[in-house]
Amino acid sequence: MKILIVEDDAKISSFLRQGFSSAGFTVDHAEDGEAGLSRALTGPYAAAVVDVMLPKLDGLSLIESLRRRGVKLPVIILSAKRSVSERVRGLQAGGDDYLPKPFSFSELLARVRALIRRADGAADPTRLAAGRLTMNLLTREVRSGASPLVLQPREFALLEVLMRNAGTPVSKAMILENVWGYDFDPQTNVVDVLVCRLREKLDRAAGAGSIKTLRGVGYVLKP
Amino acid sequence: MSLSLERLSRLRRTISFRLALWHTGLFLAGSLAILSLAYFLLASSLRRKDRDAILAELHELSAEYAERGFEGLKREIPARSVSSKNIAFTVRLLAPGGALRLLSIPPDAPAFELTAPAAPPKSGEAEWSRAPAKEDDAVLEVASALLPDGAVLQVGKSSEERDDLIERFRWIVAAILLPAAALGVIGGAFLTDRALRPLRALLATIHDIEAGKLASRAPVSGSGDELDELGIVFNRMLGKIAGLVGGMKDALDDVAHDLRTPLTRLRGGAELALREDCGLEALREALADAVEESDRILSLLDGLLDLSEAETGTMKLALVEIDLARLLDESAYLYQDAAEAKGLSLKVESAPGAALRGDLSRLRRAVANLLDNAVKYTPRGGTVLLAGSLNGADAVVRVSDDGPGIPPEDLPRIWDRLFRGDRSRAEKGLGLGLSLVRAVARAHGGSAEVASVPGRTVFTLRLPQRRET
Repeated sequence: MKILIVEDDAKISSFLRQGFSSAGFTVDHAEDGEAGLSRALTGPYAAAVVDVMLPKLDGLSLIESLRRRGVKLPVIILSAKRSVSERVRGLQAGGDDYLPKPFSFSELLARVRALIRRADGAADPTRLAAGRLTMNLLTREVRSGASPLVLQPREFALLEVLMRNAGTPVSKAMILENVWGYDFDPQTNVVDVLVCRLREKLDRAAGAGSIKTLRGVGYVLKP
Repeated sequence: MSLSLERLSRLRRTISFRLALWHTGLFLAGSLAILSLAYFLLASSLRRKDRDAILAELHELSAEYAERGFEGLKREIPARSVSSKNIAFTVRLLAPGGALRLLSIPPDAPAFELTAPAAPPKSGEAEWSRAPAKEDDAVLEVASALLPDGAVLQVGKSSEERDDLIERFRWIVAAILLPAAALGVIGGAFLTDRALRPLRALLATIHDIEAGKLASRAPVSGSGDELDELGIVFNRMLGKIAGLVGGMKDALDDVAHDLRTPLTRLRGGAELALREDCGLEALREALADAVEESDRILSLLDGLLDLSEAETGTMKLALVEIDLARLLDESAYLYQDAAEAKGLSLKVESAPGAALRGDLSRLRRAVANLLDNAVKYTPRGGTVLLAGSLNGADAVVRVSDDGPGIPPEDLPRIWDRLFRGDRSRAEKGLGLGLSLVRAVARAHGGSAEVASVPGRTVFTLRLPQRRET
């Protein structure tokens, strides 16, 4: 899968390139808005990551002209501005998602994957699987192999995020947003507490895999 | 800038000048109107007096003529001019054919163009005519009457005397009007100067501020008039601006100061890892430390920005209708696991149906911060109660715990930015939580308070149910 990165900062684009490459993407990179636009118009890409502040043509104008020409490429906007109005502006210009800088790469990766899934038109899965773990999103049943796992609603929501991103780390912010719908980080580590509890339950069920803590990055479900 | 100053001072000059001019003009016009009226009244009454005298003389002479005939009249005239109150009349008698029979002219009278009447006067009433003087502006006012025998008797009186009086009156008017005009100009200038003094003081203040003396304020006299109020409002506005600028400057200073410590940790840890010849695991640890530290710096930065926005009143609130019970339930939901893990009982009590208008995301954050504190500082086995109620026009959120309480010496300072009590140093946190709680409450037009004794600490958040916007 090919992904387009339009970012003028050399260091940021370098770590984005590395990150997406190691996540299995082919990466194209444009350093300014005009180059980004012409690439987006020519090559078939699965998704684009576009910075707002760009030389020659800013990110929002780039997205607007893409949309005017009917290009439906999923775009995630990166911006140094964190205000709600900036986010709204970005989405109104035609962006599909918005991530303020600085961001955690795992979060960007998860969001890009979600965008691609949505663009592919794949129906939201009703079942998730990771190793021996299976989750039925309709009946809300979780099984490790054949044996059922009894989870509280919050534990279920946490496991769902981890299973959707099985193998790749999930950041604390993503968990807060998906489990509690909060967009800020409370100082007490509520995420840690919940992860610990789920981890214990998974550890008790033989072969259910385990949740690893990656300090500074987040949590990852290893089947 | 100098151009606008010049324009301002020109405007000021123009206003002063125009006001003074108006004042003088109105004053003069008023004086002139009164004096003119007096002049015309005087002139017309003098004229009427003269005419009355002429008519009286005409009647008496007519009667004399009727009684004693021409000879009688001839005798009577010199006698009257001596006896009668120093009024000198010109008398002429014309025979029925128009021939002159008698002409008596007072000794000092100027020569007049005495012409025969164009048509004989009608009987019974006196007819008026005027004869100009040959040399000066005087006029001889003449009344003619038809005598029973067809002769015409004419009595005239020179306007000289009257003109003299009026002339003197004119001089008096001039003598009054000139000083009055001077008084008008001086008074106008004085009044304008006084009236515009506060405005000039205001201008001077503005110039001072432009020149960089930001503490300068417009003097206020306390008279309570419009210009005084302008000064007061202006000063209030300056105060508000100074507060905002000061708040932003403080925030910037704080940000710079508060970022140095975590940045030092970040840099120090990374540098140490680079210097030491340590293993891969130690390097990973150092990198993880670096990421965590930078996340901390980021949330500190966000917190400080939020705080300064709320404190300087520039925070934009996205107001929506909020169900109080739901807000509390969601907040409790967030801390349920943390409280359980610590062996705390976290309870929620809220009045169903209570609603308020507020910024959901910020209020969530404020309530979460209060809960965060309570969960952190209440020892194992304690109870934290989150209660919502309506109290008059306020929605009230209370977070109480049965922990050891806040030391009294810390109580006044817990709301301060980055204040961390001795106990809280052991806990994770930035020291911004409570400051933000209060700032958010104030941004909503409400308040945040605390009461604490050992065994019971209550934080109270009061939010107006309807916020006027």
